[in-house]
Amino acid sequence: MRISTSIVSVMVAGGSMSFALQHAANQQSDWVPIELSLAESAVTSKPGSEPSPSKSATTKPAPDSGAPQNSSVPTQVSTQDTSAPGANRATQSDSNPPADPTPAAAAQPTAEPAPQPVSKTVVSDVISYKYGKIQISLTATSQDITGIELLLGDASYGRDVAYAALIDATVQLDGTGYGNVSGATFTTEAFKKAVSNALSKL
Amino acid sequence: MRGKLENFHSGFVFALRVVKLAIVIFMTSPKTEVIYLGRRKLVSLQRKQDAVQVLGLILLWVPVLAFAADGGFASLESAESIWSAINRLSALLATAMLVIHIALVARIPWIEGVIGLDKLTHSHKRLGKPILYLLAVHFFASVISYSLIDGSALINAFFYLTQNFLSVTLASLALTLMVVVVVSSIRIARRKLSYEAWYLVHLVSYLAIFLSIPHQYELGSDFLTQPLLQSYFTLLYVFVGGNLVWFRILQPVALSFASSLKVGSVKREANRTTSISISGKRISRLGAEAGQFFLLRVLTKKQWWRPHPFSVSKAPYDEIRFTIGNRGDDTALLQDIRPGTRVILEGPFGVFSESKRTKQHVTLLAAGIGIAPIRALAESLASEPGDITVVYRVTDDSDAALLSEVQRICRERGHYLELIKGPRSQSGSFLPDQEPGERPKPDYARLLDIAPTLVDSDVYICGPSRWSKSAKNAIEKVGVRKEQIHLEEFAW
Repeated sequence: MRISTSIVSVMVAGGSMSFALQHAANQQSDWVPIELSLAESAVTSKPGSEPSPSKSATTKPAPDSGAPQNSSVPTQVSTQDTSAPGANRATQSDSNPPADPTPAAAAQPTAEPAPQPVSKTVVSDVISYKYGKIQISLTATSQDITGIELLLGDASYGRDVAYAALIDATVQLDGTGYGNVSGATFTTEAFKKAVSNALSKL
Repeated sequence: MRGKLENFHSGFVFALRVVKLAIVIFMTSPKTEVIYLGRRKLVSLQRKQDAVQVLGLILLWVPVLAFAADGGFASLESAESIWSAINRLSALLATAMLVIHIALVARIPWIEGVIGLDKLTHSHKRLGKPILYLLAVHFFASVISYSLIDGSALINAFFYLTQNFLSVTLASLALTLMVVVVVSSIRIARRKLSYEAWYLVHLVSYLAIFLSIPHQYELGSDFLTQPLLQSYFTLLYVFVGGNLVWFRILQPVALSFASSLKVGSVKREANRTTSISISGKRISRLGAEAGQFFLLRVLTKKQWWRPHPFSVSKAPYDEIRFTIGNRGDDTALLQDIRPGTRVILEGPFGVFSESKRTKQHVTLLAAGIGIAPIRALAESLASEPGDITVVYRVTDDSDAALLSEVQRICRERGHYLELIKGPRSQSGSFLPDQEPGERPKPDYARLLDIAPTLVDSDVYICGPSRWSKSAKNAIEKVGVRKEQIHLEEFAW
């Protein structure tokens, strides 16, 4: 290679590298792992104290607008957190008398101790893995896993989709006896670990 | 009925002929010969070379950049993240180097025509070991970083990965195969293994590369998190793989079939050398130039699977002639080849030709069987009488293959011919030892006596590698610039 060409190459290489590093630095500041509704986790992290509201919301996927996107979306009717859109709508329908009877029924399950089995919500340890950290809260009766919420998890690069699928699969199969979500192998592994960790705390 | 059959038969023959013609026309491009010389040609040749080399560097640089842009260098706080970064970076670099490694032997014409196949093969050889080292680093770093994340022992982490991911098992197998391939290459270099055995082992490396691809797509951190990088590598794989299959298998087979290449005539030359002419339809469209070489694959039961490189020893117009010295192994078998045997030619290759010439004067240096391409060059290089000096180094007259042809060409075209006879030098010089009484002269001075226009000429050297090296050293001492010296590696 001629000297002139190598000088130009080195300059281009240096320039591109500094550009890439700058890009990385910018990305780093934007890149915040999604920490879903801390207030919520504060509520649910007291296992046993008030289990019923969250149970009733997740165990009874109401057919109407009250809970249109059930277990896959963690922020749900279960709390008083008004910032979440789903919850907002639920409280609205609560206050309006002509609303459907189901949310109303959901609002007072504590009044009459239902024949349903008692469910419990536990929060798993923080599982760190290749791409970040995962923490879930898991709601279950003595037989069923009825709901899972993601408290901590990096949702970049389409992993949010993977979480939804993982939560669905876990709730449906009442366990982690499923394969990998393709393209999210490590995430799947970590998620399974979090689930079994939470189950062990039940 | 019979008439119909004949009709059908002749129709079939006609169709076959059309197909063959189409193959030849589509796969070759006749060269229009305009010969340029001078400084501008030199600069443009260098530019092309630089471009190809820079392209290779870019291939290495892009994954590093992508890694940096993804924040690979930014978050190195824990031991785990450092090992993970080492793991990713070594994997990316090894992958890029493997792509280059294969591209070097894919015979991509626009690269080969600039660098030359011998130099490409040489770089291919040199890249083998570093790739293996990087792959080993990648292997250990991945196991270590996983065991750190998992908190398990190294061996457990390895078993966990191989048992849970089929693709990792395949990749581990691939790494083992690559170790075998590199070790066998080292052993062939030390002549502890036969060429044939090595050749078979070497084919395994393609399998190894194939086996290593799935785990990149299933677990490769950078592949999964950077779709752009994944597409980039996918495109590279497709491009290099496509070129490899096309230029190493499909094109030579199709062209040889279409022009019905076979051994035309076999002629014994001087002591232990034979000239073999390959004839075929539209053979001139193969586009060979004097000084280039082909890989000759003789389709006999014993030899069809291993090609050998031979230079054309005659300006290739209506036939392609090779002059082959008997050096044992397959060249011994080739001495007794029967006319009419089908062959497959891969090529033409090499830049040891008019395409690299930039000066009016030319000095051609040959030793032994190295005369083959030199004779072709002497016959066809554009020149005025007196422009070209041919130096032919032989031990004695009986050893001088093609001597009468070279003498005739030099007489007809007005070249100077210097025949240097004498036994091999004791000191390793490319010239014979001086007479005891003579005043001792350095090699370059003796060479200047023989070829006074040396400094201002292009020098083409072809012969055994030690001889060529000695000649090249002497020529560089005279002050001939590196770009003017063209050297064909004979053994590679």
